[in-house]
Formats: sequence, C-alpha cells, structure tokens
Amino acid sequence: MSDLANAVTGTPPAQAAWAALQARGGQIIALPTLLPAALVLELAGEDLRPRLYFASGPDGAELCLRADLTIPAALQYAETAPHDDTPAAWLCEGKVFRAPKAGENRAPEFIQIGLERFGDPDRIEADVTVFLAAWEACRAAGETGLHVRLADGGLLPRIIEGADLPQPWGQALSDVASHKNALQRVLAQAMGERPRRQISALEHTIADLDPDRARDMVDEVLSLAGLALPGTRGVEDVAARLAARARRAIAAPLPAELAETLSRLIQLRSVGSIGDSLDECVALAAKLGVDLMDWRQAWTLRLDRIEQEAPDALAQAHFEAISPEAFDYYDGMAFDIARGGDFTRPVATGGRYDRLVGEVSSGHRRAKAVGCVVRPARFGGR
Amino acid sequence: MAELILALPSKGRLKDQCEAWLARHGLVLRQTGGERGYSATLDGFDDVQVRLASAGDIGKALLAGEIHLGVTGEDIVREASDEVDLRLTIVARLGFGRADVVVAVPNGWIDVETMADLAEVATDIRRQTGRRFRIATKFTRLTAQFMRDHHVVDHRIIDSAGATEGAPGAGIADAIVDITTSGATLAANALKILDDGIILKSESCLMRSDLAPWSEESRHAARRLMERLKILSDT
Repeated sequence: MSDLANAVTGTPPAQAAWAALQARGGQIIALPTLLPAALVLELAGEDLRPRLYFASGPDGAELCLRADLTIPAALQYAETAPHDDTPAAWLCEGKVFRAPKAGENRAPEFIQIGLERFGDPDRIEADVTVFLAAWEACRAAGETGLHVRLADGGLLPRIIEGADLPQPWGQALSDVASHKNALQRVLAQAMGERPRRQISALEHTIADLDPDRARDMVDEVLSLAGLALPGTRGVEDVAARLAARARRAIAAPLPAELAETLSRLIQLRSVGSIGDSLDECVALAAKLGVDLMDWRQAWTLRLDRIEQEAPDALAQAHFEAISPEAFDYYDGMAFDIARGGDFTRPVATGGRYDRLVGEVSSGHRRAKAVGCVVRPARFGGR
Repeated sequence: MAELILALPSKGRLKDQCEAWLARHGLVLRQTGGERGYSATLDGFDDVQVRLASAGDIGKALLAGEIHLGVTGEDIVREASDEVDLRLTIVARLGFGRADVVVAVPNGWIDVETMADLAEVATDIRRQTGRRFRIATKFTRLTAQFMRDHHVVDHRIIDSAGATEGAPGAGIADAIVDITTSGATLAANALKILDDGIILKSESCLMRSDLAPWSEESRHAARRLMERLKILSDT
C-alpha cells in the first residue's frame, strides 16, 4: 500500500478511500499535469475553456493544467501501451485545476483520486470493478446517505441507429445520436415543434436530386454568384446539407407515436427500481423495432455482480437513459455517487469511454477503457 | 495631486475623435511632455489627471479600479471580463468607434444563414472528420459565451492575433468572429455575416470604474466634468 503523496489530502478519510481503490488492484501511476491545450479543448469542448488554466511554454507551446485525470490517463496510455489490447489498471491521484463558476465557492485546485482501466477483455467485469472501487472508496471514507445514479451513454445511439424510423428523420437523428444537445434539437424539429422555415426554389429542386447532380447544381450556383468555399467544407458538403435541410423542411413530422417513444427514452428517469427502468427501455426500444435483450442481459449481469459484492450499493439508486451532466466522452455505462442524491455535487463519478483513447491518439490506439474518480474534498458533505 | 484620473486613447483615429468630442464642449487636451507624452491636462480642470493609453489598457485599468474614468470600446471590456456590469458603469455612448462583433462564414456556405445552421454544420464536421469546427477570433470570451447561448457545442476557438478575416482562406479556421464597421473587409475576403450572428454592437464609451477609490473630491471633480460634457450622471 502506498500513502497519498500529498500532505493536504492525507486526511484519514482520503487515505482510507485511496486504500480502498488500491484494494481493487492496479499500478500507481504519475500523470502529466501540463497538457497540450488544443488537445484538451478538442476532446472536452470549448465549454471547458472558462474553467481551464493556461500556460505558455518557452517555445511558445500553448499548454493547460489538467482539469481531470481521465484525459491525461488516456493520453499516457495511448503513448506508452505496446499494443492496442494491452490491459492496464492505473491508480492515479493528484491535483486537478478547474476555475470555479461564478458563485461557486471552492478552491480552483482540488485533489482527485481514481482508477482507470484499459483494454480489459471482459468489459462488463471491468465496469463492475470500477464501480465497486468508487463505491468502496466512498464507504471507506465514512460517507453515508449515498445515492447512485446509473446511466448508459451507448443506449440512445444504439436504439436510434437500429430503429426503423422514416426518412429523413432516421438519418438526421442517427447523425446526432451520441450528442445529447443536438439530439434534442433534431427531435424537436422532427416533431414539428419549431416553426417551419420557408425554402427557396433551389432547395426545392435540390431536395429531389441525387448527390452528384445536387453537387453540380450547387457548383454552378456558386460560380455564377462568385461565391467562395475556402476551408474544410467542399461543394458536396454544402449540397448534401442543403438537400438534407430542404427534405427536413418539406417532410411530414415524425409520427407522433415514434416521437413520443423517443422523447420518453431521452427523458427516462426512474424513481422506481433500476430493473423496472431497464425493462422500460427494452419495451420502448421494441416499439421502435430494436431488440435490446443482450443489452438488458449485460446490465443484469452488472447489477448482479454489484449486488454480490456490495449488497447495499444499489439500495438508493436509479437509472437515467442520458446522464445530464456527464462528459460526452462517456459512451457506455456511467455512474455518479452523491450524498443525499445531490448529483450536482457527486463525491464519485465514472464510466466507460471506449472511444477516447482512439481520439487522443488519432486512431493509433483504440483500447476500450473505463474509469472513475473520487473527490475527497467533498467528503463529509462539504 | 489630481483627484480624478481619466484615461483616453493615446493615438490614432480614436484619439482624434476623443479630442474632437472634448473640443465640442470647449475642453482642450494639453499633452505634457509634447506630442509623445503619455499624460495630459484639461484646461480648467486642475483636479483631473489625464492618462493616454491604448484602448486595451484603458479597459483593463477600468476593470481593475486603477482609474476613475476612461474612454474605450465596449467590445474591449466585455471581452476582458465577464464581470463588466459589476466592475464598471457605462456613463455615455459617444457615437464614434462604432464596430460590430459578428460571426462570419465563407459566402459559399449557402446552406448556412443562422446560428442554428452553424450548430448543425459544427456537429456534421465533428461527425465526419472527427475534429471540431474551428472559429478564429481574438474575442475568445465573447465567442465562447455566444456559441454556448446558441448551442453550438462542437467547436474550437483558434486564438487569432490579427488578420482574422483571412483565416478561412488560409485554412486556419472554418469561420471567424471579428469586428466590422461596414462589412467591406469581410466581403473582400468572401465572408458573410450570419442573420443572427451579431454578438455585440459596440462603440466608444465613457466608462466609470466602480472599483476605483472614489473620494468626495474625486466625485466632485467627476460631477464638474460631466456637467461640462453635458452628461447626466449620478456620479
């Protein structure tokens, strides 16, 4: 066992939490504090910018202090793992730096301790191990009155991509299925909740053309009008979106029953048992023509394993289809553990981020991963 | 010892426009230390010390409470802090130094007219290329806030020190946020402003720092100056 290096965190509850994480196994690893700013913003999004502390290197490199442990862990794994599937379990601890929001009364730097697992062949068992590590860390620290919120970042993308939805809505929803904000926006459009925009003659024409002819037409319009297209988007991109937008403007709204089912899935938030919520997901997905039996079985397995090892962990727990505060990079099981159910201030959070290693390494490493962090500064209801 | 510190732009068109505004009210600015001096006096206002500084520095000094009054652009202070309304008061809009902070995209994006279109394009680019839609600007704070308000989630801000309007053409960014007065520079660079893409209609303003040490004497000096400038104020 190794004690927490930082004297500030060396309080008995923090030490006990750290010991509990270690008991779930793993190698203690030091992670970089300074990260390339561009990479962090690319992964976490500009919403994080007002929270970040920036620094300039002597060579002019733009750096930032880490705002969590997951991104530096994913980066370090991507840089050091000899193979894609090399399993690793890393115990990490240290300060993270996040400016408080207006009116938020806390220090801009605080300690996180966490467990990050990469490349586990048995992903469900890895999910369970990480959840149990976080739960046991909170309990070892003496936390009581804990509520658990479970979510699944992969659920809606899977349902929407597999659903039998009329076009153009099926495609439009599928394009944004893993972005919760965009998904709600497109669904509102599909339900005809927003005023229809008038479309031009060009859009009317292009809506019915095949992609090649649509591109030629847009190309001609641009050259006649002397308009330029510098940068990422080419003529085909503009033509494709113009056509898609026109088709959405002309299309009949998504049938009310389908739209209602999707809304209920997005807003699904149980007050009853987790099992009931999962069954409701299965039933709603079935209405859309998607069979979720294997997904349900995987959750049953997770819940049974958790129950076996920590019978009280799910006594106060609920399931939501989308975790409202979670980072977009959680794409599978996700959880928060909070005192008294105040999920704006969880003491522990975690989840599966199967795509992140691929994103930080531009696709050179693709190991699937799951991790959790615990915030000792919030112990004791602070 | 001067009781009131007033900062004015130190050079260029803004300085000329400021002097003309003062002159209209019979106030003559005398630079101490000649044309290149960075302090000045106003005839008949011995208790006012005038500092000449860049518009950016005036904004910072107002926000920090280092000066009592200053003339600078609203865009400058709004970009420098998200606590503008807690730190200073806009006393008068001066009618010059007008500039709009706007969102502009290549004019060939005929499928993009509104911020809602931009939000969709940003998501498309992320999905298709795996990287975020890039916006070049020196107004990083205003841009981030505006994008948040319009639910443009999948973007990255590229800090641009100058010639921002050339960023899309140079392949550095997909779109820009920049200031414009007539739109001519944007048009010359094949860019168009989005219908609802005006972030701020800015102009030069006389601003009062609410954090500056306001003594009875400095208040008195400010009141006299406002009266001369025909500005109604509760200073």
